[in-house]
Amino acid sequence: MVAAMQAYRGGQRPATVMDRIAKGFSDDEIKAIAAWFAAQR
Amino acid sequence: MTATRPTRRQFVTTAAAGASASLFPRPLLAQGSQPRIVVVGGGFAGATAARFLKRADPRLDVTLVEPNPIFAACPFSNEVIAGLRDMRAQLFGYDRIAAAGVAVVHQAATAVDGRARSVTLGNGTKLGYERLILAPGSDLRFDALPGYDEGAAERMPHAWKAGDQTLLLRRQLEAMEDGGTVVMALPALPYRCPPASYERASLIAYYLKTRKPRSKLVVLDAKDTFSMQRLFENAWQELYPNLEWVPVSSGGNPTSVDAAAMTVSSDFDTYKAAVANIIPPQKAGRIAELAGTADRTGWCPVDPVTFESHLAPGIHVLGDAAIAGAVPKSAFAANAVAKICAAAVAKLVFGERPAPPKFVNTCYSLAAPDYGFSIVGVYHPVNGQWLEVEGAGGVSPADAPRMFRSQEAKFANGWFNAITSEIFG
Repeated sequence: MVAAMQAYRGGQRPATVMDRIAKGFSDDEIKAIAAWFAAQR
Repeated sequence: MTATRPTRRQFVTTAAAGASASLFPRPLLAQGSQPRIVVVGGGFAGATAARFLKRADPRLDVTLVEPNPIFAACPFSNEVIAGLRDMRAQLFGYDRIAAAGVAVVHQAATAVDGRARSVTLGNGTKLGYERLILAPGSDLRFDALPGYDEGAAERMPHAWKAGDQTLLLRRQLEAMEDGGTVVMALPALPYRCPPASYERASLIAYYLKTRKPRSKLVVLDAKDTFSMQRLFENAWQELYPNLEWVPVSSGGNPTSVDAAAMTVSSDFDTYKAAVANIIPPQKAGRIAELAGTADRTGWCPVDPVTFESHLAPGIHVLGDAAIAGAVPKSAFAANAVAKICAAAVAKLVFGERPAPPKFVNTCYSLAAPDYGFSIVGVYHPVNGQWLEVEGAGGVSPADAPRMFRSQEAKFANGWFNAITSEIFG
């Protein structure tokens, strides 16, 4: 998930809205989001 | 225990008996161990807040006050108006929210006593609270556009609250003879979900183009610029020669209506309408004003982290009613800030500090059933104001292929299904 979000942010991964969303989050925030989702399993 | 407690308990138990096991009398706990939170308003903001409060901390005693047993959602109601969608797809009940442990009370909130910390309901019951969350949405101002009052709205629907008004506008468009002129009047900012007024213009133009090809749509606007303007104007140029947008600088400002004569006047002209859709200026829902949370603008200034009112301590205001800096008055934002507020309130009642929030808003608009685009913003509080995170967000590309537009139209549908099932499902 961290890699996907970073790829959206960098424009390497095609998107409609996720590129625009990912640009609003730092590496630390992306890691925190991924950790939260991982903990939901 | 306060004096209001037994009354409330008794009322809630009788009114909603059977809806949820948690509504039955519980063992009495020490004061403070089960803080009481009352949420007024069961739309996108309030229903989300009630459900997420219970999820944040099951110890919270959460009551949702909403007069209507069925919620009619505004997003996608423009498709109902254009005959592209059944109204039933817009309707949601509160059963699942009740099953999640929220006491759902179908009454209107008629008064708030901030000092005594109690809310009075239409049937006279008083609900005590430790924290009150108001999510009353927008009220239409029937004193702002000369000639446009509640009676006029029966002939010239606003359809800016989903429900009967949506269906009224739909029926009028269906019944209109081919060749008739549809007139829309749009207010100045701020009001509920401004992009939806341009989506509506687009979808009405789509309906006319496909079903009433000799008719046209005139949009009288109190604005010169609007969100996603380039995307809308490109779509109109490509699809809708039958749509004439008259901005304020071209004399489009709506100045009065005459419901009996079916005319709408602007700065420069008077238009005879076969169907008129008047979206009047708006303000926070009435209870926000009664609770002392609205300022002179008619809207409610709030703290960006907790959404607690700047004017009335212990009362939080969410959704359309709040003035929250750059945060738009959208269902998406209402849902997002309700989660932030729920998390904050769940901390505050136990004397803990809420975490600094950050959230995303995405608003989709349809220019045609298979032609969608979006605006995204990422928001964070800076010095007591909600600001957009710089370098993030923005609108869909202006030069995207049609495939991109049809994908965004699909995602718009996906968003609606996801948000409504999260809240009501």
